[in-house]
Amino acid sequence: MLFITQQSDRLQARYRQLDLRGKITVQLVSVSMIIGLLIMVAAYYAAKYQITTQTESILQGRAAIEKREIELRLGGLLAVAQSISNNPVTANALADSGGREIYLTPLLKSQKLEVTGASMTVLDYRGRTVVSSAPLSPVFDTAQMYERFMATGLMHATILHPSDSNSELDILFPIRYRLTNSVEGAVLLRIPLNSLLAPSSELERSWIKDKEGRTVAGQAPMDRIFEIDTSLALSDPLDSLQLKLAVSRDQQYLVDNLRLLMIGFLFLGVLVVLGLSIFARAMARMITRPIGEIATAAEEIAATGRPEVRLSHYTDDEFGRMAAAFNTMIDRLAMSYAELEQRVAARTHDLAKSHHEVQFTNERLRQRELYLRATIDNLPFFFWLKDSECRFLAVNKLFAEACGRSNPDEVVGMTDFDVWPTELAQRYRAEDLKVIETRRERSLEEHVVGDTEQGWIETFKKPVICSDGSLLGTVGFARDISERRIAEAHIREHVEQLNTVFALSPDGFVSFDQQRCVKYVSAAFSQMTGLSGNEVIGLNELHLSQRISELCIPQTRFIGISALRDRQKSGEGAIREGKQKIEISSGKRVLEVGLRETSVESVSQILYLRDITHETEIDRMKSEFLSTAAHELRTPMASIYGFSELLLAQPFNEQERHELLATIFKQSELMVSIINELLDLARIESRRGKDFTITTVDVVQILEEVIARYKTPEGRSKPVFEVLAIPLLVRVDRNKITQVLSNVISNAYKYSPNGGDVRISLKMSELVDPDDISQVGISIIDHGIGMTIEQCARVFERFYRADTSGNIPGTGLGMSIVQEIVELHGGHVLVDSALGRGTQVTIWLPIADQTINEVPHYDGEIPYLGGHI
Amino acid sequence: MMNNPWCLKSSLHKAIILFASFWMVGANAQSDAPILIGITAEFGMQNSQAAQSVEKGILLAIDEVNQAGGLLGRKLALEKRDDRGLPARAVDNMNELSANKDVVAMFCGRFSPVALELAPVANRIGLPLLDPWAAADSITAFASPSFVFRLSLTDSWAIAALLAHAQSRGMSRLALVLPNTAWGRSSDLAVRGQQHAGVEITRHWYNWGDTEFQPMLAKARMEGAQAIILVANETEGSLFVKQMAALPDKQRIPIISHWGIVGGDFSAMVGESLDSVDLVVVQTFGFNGARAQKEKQVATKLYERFGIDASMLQGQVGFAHAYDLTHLLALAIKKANSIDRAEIRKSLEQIKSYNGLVRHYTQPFSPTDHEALDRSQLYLARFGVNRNLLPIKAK
Repeated sequence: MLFITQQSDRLQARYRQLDLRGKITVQLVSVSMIIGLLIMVAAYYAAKYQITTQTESILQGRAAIEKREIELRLGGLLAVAQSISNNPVTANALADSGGREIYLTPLLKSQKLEVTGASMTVLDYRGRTVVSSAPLSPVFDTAQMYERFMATGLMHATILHPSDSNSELDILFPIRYRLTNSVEGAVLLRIPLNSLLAPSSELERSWIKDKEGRTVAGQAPMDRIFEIDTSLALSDPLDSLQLKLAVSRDQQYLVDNLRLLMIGFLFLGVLVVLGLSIFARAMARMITRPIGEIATAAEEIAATGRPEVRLSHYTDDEFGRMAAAFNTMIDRLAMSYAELEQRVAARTHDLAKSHHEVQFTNERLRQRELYLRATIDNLPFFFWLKDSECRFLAVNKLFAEACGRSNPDEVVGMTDFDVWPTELAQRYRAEDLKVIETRRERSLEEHVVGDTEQGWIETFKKPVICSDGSLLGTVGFARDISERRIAEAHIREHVEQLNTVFALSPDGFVSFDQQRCVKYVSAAFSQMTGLSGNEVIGLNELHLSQRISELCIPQTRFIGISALRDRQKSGEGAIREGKQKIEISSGKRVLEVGLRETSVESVSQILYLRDITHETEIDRMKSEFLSTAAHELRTPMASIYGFSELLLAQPFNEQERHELLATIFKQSELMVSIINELLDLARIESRRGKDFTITTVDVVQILEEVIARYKTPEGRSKPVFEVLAIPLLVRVDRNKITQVLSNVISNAYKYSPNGGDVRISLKMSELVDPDDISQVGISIIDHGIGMTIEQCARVFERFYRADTSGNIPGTGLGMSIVQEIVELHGGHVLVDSALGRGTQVTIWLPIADQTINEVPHYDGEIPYLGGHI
Repeated sequence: MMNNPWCLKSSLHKAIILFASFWMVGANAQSDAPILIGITAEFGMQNSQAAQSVEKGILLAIDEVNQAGGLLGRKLALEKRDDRGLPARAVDNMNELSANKDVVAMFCGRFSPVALELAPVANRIGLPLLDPWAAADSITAFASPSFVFRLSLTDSWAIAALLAHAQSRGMSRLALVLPNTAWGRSSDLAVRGQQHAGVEITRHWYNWGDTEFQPMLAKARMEGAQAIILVANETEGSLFVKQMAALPDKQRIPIISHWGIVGGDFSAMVGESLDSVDLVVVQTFGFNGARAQKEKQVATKLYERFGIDASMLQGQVGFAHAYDLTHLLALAIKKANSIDRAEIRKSLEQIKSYNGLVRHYTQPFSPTDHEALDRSQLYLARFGVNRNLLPIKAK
């Protein structure tokens, strides 16, 4: 390898030393040699390819023909042998004795076997020859194989001496003896495989290979240039042998011819290369001689520096033209030389003249700088100009003073770090860099803390960009904005306060801007209407009116904001105030909507909403109560009126008059009790317990008194009172509670007309809720007509009667009074009832603190003392 | 002497003791092992009952001999081989059995080709071959001294009986149906030797295992045959008879048959066709009361031994022939007082008389005649209503 590299280097060095003529010659000769070689190689392979394909197609044809021939011949032989094995005569012969040759031998010999040397032999059950068509009976020595064949009874094929090219093919066909239904012998078909092949020539050969690739027939040539294998398609049992037919063709003579042709080519090639090299040398000489002369002339001019040499041109070809051009070039060169010297003299004169003009310009520049300085020094804010490296180029006086310098020029060339404390300088530098980086102006307000005072500075920075887009630096302004900041803070505080007021106000507000679009919505408004701020802010008054109108029930549709405004100008009274009552369908709120126009610049008008649901409800209840009460009073009044009119109009006997008067008296009594109870109720409601005389009393004691005083209806037993053996003190108005208990007990008897015990029991709230010992419950239980759940729910309504038959007397106000009184005592009433089963009314009253303290300590349970009192 | 063998110094003494012990061992072996009779026959052939019937005859006779004390102080026993009716297998069987010196003789079956192949082998190796059935004439006519003994009919006798029957019925044109085997050739030869002038006989060959006989029947009828002389075994015979029965009534002709058809349960194989065909068959023996006393005696033993009623026994000729042959062999062994095969062969020729099942034998074999029966034994029979063979002609 090293040697080759050395040689190659040497050749390259020698090539470089060659003159132009030598190089041209070498290159021409090498190129022609390479092309010649390539053509030769291509021609060789093309010829070889042609030979190969042609031979292969010949061989394929030959192989196909011979394969078909062999398959047909073998197939024919197999058919013959099989017919012999199936012939009953053959089986019969196996059962026959000597003498069978008479008919068996002619049978075998009469069969036409298409292959020379093929024979058929009938074998007995052990493979011994019975009769054979061959002159010499075949020897059959593979006893074991034969036993297997007899056992399976299937056709069997095998090749004898497979490694020998004279091998024979043995095929056994079973002979089945019908009388025993067993295989009792075989027909052996023996075929010399060589006979199957077509005669071979020196040029072409064919042979047969078995599945191991051994040649079993014919002879494979030693030198197989072209060979083709085809599998023989044979029927059972030969298919198991997987025989292949191989065909070859010897093409050596063609290859020899090809080689001869190549040697001829090579000789011719050498001759051509020799001729070419001579021709190349001559051509090269012709080209290089004129170039050599030009080179000599050029060398001479280079040495003298004077373009004075000339070339003689004696031909009209390219070299002649080149010599002429060379001469012209030298002439031109001489002319330019003279011109150059003249121009140098003129330039020297001009230079002296321009010096005065420069001095004048400088003066004007200095004046302009003074103006500029005066301008920036008089600016009322800090000003500075920095280059792209953040060095000050110019500052104004104010800025210089802020840095503690008297002369602005002192600051020029410095950086922020030279004039400000490090921390501040770092911040400024960072800002500058941002401006430079983004090429965008920045402004910021910052809180500055100095040694003695502090305040707010507003700074504005801007990049200075040249017309060509390059960044020159930054320019900055700064001013003190402390006063402005203080004023802004005041305003903000004021707004906060106002917002808080609006947010806390139970009334809702909507403010509108000058365009009458919604600007602000208070929290109360959203709560009342369910319209959030996001939904309505930005809407004009028409759209808002529509939204509010959609929320209302149809009877009280919102008339709209503009209508409200019109009313204000034209209407009177409540209408004059520009108010409307609407009812929101969800939640049944009743709202009062009003509008107020303002004179404030930013707010054109304010819509305000007030929740008057409660007031409206109370109004409704009042009128409802009045009409009910009037109705209830009118019923007995009608009776009184009617009967008294009757008495006045006509005479009645004593008996009749007494009856009429009794009726009038009874109705009057009912009327009085209604009026009493109504007055009672009215007093209780208006005084709200202020007239109660609260004392601490024992519930048990009160109950005992009530029971003792109660006049039990005729035929009914006293209430059963389950007594607790402890005093249960409550702080109540004794009379009111007595009234409550009497009322409930009276109801219990009234609503159990079919009898049954009325039971009274006491319970502590801790029995219901162990943590709550604050209440005592008084249950009055009857087993009367009871109530449905719906009736139960209405039991505290005024004038409501569970009994609609009129058999049970009552005003329908008793339970309302009970509830009012108990609730004013801080307690509550529970009614539990089932239709036809009875009712339990429990009055829960708060226990007085004293009781809790006085409760004797029992372990776990309160002793129960049942019994009648 | 035995108490102290170490005292013996003489080598002579030692030799004597050694010899004595060997002799005793040999004598013991001889008396323990039974004397064997071999048989190679067509046991594996479908439909055939012949080999089984021969075997029963031998076994019954062996039982009788053994019950009477055996022979030479030894029991007699049968060694059985199947040859499927194939000569090659039979010869191999014979060669195998003859290697055993206790085998004194060998039976063959009913197939003439087999017997014909066995006979020369028997003569060569010197083993008596007893033929209870196979009929080819040349079986017994091979060598001198001949080791082949037959207690059966020959084809010549059978053909003569068949032809005589045809003649007695006035038939002059006969069709001879023959198997393409040695048996067929032997029968053909017999016909040629005995053909009477004026009787026209055509020949029709078939192969064993053939199933189609209609063309043959048609040809025979076209040739004007008045009867068929049938040489066949039960398989081909039954098909032949059935195909005859399948012909229209007028086209049917009588069948006069050699006895091969009774080698199996022929009547069962043919079935009802038997009623529509005129069929006679040559016989030598049947449990039909000809020898009432002996028949009854054997029938009783047959029933005791095999549980078979004698009248239901298939291949009765084979049974009776084998039974008698076995007894004749026993007599010969007794007479020879040896199991030497040559001696036995000689003794067989010297038996004076024996009262057998088939007949009473007076010198059944002689050096010139190895046929125990003769023509007079033959008779023709028909199948009766009970499907048993009834003789149609007294002997």
